[in-house]
Amino acid sequence: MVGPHGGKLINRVLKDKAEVLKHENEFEFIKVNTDVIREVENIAFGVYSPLEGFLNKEDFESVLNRKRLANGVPWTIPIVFDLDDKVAEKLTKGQKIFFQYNNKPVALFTIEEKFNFSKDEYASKIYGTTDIKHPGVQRVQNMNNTLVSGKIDLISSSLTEFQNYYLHPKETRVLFKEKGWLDIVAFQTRNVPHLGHEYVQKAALTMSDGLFINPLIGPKKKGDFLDKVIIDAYKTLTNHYYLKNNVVMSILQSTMHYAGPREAIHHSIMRKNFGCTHFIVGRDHAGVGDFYHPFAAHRIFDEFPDLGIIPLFFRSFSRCTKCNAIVNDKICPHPQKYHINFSGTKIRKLLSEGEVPPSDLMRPEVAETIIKEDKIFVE
Amino acid sequence: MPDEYNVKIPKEVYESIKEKLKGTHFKDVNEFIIQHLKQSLKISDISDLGEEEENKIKQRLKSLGYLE
Ligand SMILES: [Zn+2]
Repeated sequence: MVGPHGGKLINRVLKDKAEVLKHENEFEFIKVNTDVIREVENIAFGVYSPLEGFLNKEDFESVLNRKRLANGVPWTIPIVFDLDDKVAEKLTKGQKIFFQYNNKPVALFTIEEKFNFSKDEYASKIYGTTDIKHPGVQRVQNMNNTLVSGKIDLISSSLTEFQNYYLHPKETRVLFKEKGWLDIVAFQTRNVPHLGHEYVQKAALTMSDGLFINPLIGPKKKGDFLDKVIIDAYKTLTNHYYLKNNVVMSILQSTMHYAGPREAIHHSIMRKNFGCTHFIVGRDHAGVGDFYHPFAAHRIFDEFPDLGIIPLFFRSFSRCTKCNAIVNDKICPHPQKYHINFSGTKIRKLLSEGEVPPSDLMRPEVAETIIKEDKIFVE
Repeated sequence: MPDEYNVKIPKEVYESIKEKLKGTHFKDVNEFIIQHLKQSLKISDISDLGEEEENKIKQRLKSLGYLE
């Protein structure tokens, strides 16, 4: 197993909640949404180690300009808290406020500093574009103008959906230790598994002790597979086609940024904190549209010899009718005309019509599980 | 026994590591070599959870079916 990013696994879950809640009538409350809660819990449970709170100006600028925190530790996606100018105006350094969610105080936020930022600069440095068609750029443009930094102390966890699959880094670390795994490969996903995914996972698993399937649960777009469908599909796949001792699935509560290469590094760092030694990076990892070169998310790893988790690159995979096997560009010599690509669009269309895709595209048990769901896609 | 030992490495290896570390968070070649060796020899950093907490976690993992 690998040590946490930055050397220390952060735990900012309050031990003495009663002591803090005594101030319920004294500290101000700020209502926050689920996106903020996800960030807060990731900080508190150590998914974002070594962060202990939202980035201050120095770290924020360093992340933008150097892809590192001010102390040099690799960090590529800003974890920030934006606040309406008028609300921010009243806050002072050292002030403690409660984050309010579902009408109760869920975290304590200790204000460090407030600062302004350029949305265009944020967008162009993180996403490589200021094009408003990019979903990440859209989010940045919709942010408030003031960022507020400070440490987080979690009072209670609010993300109760899929709680049975919500493991925190200290828990996965104990789990991997108990399983006796040393080399652990992480697989990030936002999709239901087809045979191409299974091939990549098993190729990586062949060379290691355990596979950590870690679906990202978060805000979705219309037409995306529902989180429950993804989890159920993986449950079926692993029950039927994986050895129980070699695979673990738990969820990651997080937002997709579609930041391509920078996000590939971010995804790796989070999995390192869960205790993984290797991370699978596919073609156009965390990309959207054609904003990134398909292998930009591979090349960026050259900039981080000090990342502390090893990327496993997959360029492509398809079914080769000549090899009669699932292949990748390194192992099959046959030209494109023999290759059938795993078309997400085709699989999606069949499933939405209640049809089971061909068994050389998707395992029938997995397809049946998906079709049986009340709803498959986000409406 | 001393807390630390000196190990000799060839000049060329030292120089090329130093080159690779430009812009990274490693303070020096020493720090990099220690992390790298720990990683490749799988010497894990001891987790600082207490026994009580570790047992609590194992209990949760069992109840969720992650551990037998
Ligand atoms: Zn072939």
